[in-house]
Amino acid sequence: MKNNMKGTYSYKLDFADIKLEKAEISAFMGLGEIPDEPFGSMIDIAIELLSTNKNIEGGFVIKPVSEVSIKEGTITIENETFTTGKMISSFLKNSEYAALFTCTAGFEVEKYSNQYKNEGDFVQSYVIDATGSLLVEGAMELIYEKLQQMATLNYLNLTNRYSPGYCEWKVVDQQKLFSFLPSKFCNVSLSESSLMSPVKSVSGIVGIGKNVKYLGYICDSCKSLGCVYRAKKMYVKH
Amino acid sequence: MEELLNKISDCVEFGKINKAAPYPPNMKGQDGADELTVQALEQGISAKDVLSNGLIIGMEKVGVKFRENKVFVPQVLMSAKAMNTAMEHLKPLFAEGNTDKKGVFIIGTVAGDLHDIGKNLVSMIVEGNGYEVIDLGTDVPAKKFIDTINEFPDAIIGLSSLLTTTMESMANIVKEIKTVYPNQKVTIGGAPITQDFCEKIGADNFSADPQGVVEFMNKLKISA
Repeated sequence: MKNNMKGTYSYKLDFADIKLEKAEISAFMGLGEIPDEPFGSMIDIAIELLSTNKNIEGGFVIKPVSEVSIKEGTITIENETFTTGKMISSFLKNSEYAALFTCTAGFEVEKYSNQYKNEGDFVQSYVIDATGSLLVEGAMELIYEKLQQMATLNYLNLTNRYSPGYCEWKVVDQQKLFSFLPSKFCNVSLSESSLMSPVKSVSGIVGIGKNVKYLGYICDSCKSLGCVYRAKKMYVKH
Repeated sequence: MEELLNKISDCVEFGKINKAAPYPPNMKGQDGADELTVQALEQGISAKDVLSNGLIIGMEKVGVKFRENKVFVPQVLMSAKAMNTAMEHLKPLFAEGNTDKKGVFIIGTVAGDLHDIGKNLVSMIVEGNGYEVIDLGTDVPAKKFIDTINEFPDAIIGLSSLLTTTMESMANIVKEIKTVYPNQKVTIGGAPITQDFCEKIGADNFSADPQGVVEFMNKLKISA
């Protein structure tokens, strides 16, 4: 059956779309859902500062997948081969298409975080940084939903989203990933050392196909035993 | 005297900055590190005792609790804030050049990497444990580390990296430091760093948490 899984899509989002809750930010920082003072007020400040942020955006490019090799731990899209590691390549098995995505919470996060840091208020700076981390993850969830709607219309399913840095996938592959995206796509750029700018940005791949599966939480099956997220028992959305 | 120093230690451990601070809730309305340090000095307790037997003890406990996931980044930052508030009263009392520091620690995030939360935590906990910290910031090239070692030849060096891509930069910096200063002690850390990597690149220590850096430095000080 012919489908419409191709093209480049980008979306601007509002802070309100993401529905970021104070309790979620507090729990993410290890403070429980009801933070003690002054942390509660600090979260309020972070939310207020970032709520007017107009630079939350994300998008994806859809390309046909040439090959997924579990044995080699790779996925090949057009002529570019990503060395994702055996685990991620097994999760991407049966992908007919791949959505190569990026999403950002904008420069505002580091602007305000640095502002407080430079004033010596490291706690407020950290609270803004943590809020920015959740903001970009929340924004990416919405971008994923847009992709899901598109896949559903074409009778296709999605895998989790996977990013360079997850499991055995080296961050250096970010360079290949960005080669598929238009220059400064969604205002995200990449340094030589594969650091995204703005800092609160994410990028990665979602597999698309009739026979792919969404697996939810995967950290327990990952071989990266020393991973900071696993060690801190922090839930990572995929 | 001991009771007051214990209270100061508690204030740092639990992040009680001053009387007006609402945090932590179970110490609300009580004097904080600010007031208690003033009281200690008024009672004739030396600045050195306040630092060694009050503030440093509290910060050491925070470092251990952080390692054990009993406290998280915001609480550690609050403890550092309490410590720094107390230090403002002590600094003028330390004669210039005789700050009674345990040693010098030069720290930076390696070239190509801009992440600094882990580096800042290490800085605060190492400083809180009685060392002078020279923080070179982020994206630091080998030359800047070497130039700073030139100024502080006995310093211990700390390198931080969050990205797998900048691990190579870390390896190069260790190599360049060791070429110029073969006996300079270098400790490394960051999310992707392992003991194996530490051995492979010829660094002297890997710590998964800030307290591990303090323990490494304390061990070097004892054996010096």
